[in-house]
Amino acid sequence: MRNDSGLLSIDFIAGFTIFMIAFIVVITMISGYFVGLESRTIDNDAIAYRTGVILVEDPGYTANSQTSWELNDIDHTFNILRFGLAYSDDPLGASRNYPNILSSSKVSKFFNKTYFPTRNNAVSDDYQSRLMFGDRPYWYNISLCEIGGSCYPPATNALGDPQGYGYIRRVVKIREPGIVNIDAYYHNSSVAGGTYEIPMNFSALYSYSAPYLVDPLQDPVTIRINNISSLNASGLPHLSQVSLVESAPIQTLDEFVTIDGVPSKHPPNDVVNTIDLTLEPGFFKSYASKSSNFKIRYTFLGPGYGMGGSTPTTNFTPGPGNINEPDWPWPRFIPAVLEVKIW
Amino acid sequence: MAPFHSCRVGGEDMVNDSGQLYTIEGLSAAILMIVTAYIILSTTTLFTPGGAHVVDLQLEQLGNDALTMMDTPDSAPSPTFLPFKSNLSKYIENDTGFGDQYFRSNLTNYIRTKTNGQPDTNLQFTANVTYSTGSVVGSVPFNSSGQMMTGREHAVTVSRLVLVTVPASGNPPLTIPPFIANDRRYVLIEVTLWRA
Repeated sequence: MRNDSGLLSIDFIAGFTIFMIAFIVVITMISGYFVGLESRTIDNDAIAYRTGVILVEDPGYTANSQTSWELNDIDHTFNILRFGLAYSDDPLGASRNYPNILSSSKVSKFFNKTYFPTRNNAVSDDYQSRLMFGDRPYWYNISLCEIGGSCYPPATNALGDPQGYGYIRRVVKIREPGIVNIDAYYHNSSVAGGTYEIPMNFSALYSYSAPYLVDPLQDPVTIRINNISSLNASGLPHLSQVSLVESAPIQTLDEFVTIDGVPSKHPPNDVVNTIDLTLEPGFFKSYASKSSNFKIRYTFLGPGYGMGGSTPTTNFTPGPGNINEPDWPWPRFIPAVLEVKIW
Repeated sequence: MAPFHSCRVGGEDMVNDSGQLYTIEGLSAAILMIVTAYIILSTTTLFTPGGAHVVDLQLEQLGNDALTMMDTPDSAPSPTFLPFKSNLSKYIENDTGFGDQYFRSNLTNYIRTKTNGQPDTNLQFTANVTYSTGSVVGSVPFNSSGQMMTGREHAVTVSRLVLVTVPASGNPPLTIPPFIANDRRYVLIEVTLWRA
């Protein structure tokens, strides 16, 4: 009866069990392994989702780390390492505290066809290398529309309609800086000529909480003086100079001023009705910190009356933007929808 | 002739350990296999879309975005009044008496707008608000897109805690039992989204 053929030894059972457990573990780990490599729709959806997250939640990144990417001019777009449209209260773009709040200057730069010409070549493409990443070329279509409003021209490298695309839609708000509107009637100089100064107290501006504060270090600064024709002028008021003043004038702003809406009409010149001052985003970067204290000085010469009679002595603080006092209006938040299609 | 010993089956002579796998060897081999497999897999980028339902993810993202943006004030009313009140808070506080209708049109706008100009009319939603009065926890329906669920839909739910201040007088927030006047507290809004 001492015949043990057909019996399993305990060694074999133990070894086999351990092998089976290992085998099952390996099979379980492998199951998700090839899905991302071959299933194109899921892959496209993943890329679309990731692209949407980068656009909506990331402020982007640039090689020259002293600035944020949208401040690179057209000759330095190669510095941009990663697009991202989110507003960041840190001028270096390091904070990601405001997902879904887009910076309007980043948005307009991102969709600017002059800066980033659309090429029908998916390989050598600005967006491909700074937004989609990876070696595999994709077709893409990124579009942004204000809800109930206008759309930006979409960023795309495709000629036709997408088919079988990966898709994500994000609801966002575009942070639009306010425009300072000043009615010259309330700031009439009682003598010929005159000097009108707008205080810009950065520490007052930055004492409010982001993203609602006025942020001249990153936002464009737009100041419009209108109704000049109401000044008690014996002849047209003559604007001789606009300058940025700290304790003394440090920079002339004449080239950023347009008079009466004529782009080539800079000071010194006669003014019929409006003076527009537009400083690009990042203008103050080289001069200012969050505690700077500036004035923008408008110098008028006779014989006509200029402005200055009631130069505000208070700080230039953010406010609801009424017409008598040059308060700086709060930024507005415009709801919009962003779509990313990848295929 | 005596039979060959080697041909005998059974008996003492078969106790021969050539080719035998010992437990300790099996164990170490198994551990080696597992460790090897683990190292190989962990040094490679793994896509794990196994459990990701892409459609769910898109709807959920959209719903969360919409609620977040409704709970983000459009502008700051005055420098002294911080933090600012969002639209979603105002809808739930229901100062006007039409809070749920404003909520409905606002949410419809946010989730259905597409960049090609054709609204995503298939998207449906229903919302309710859960509150605590301190002693009672209750839930009230808020508003919906109007379409009933048939039971076949694959729905996702998104939620957000919303800070509301109960006005001293005026409309009660929805049908929520009145809180203590001017008391600020969180209520939970839940929105169920699906494609009809």
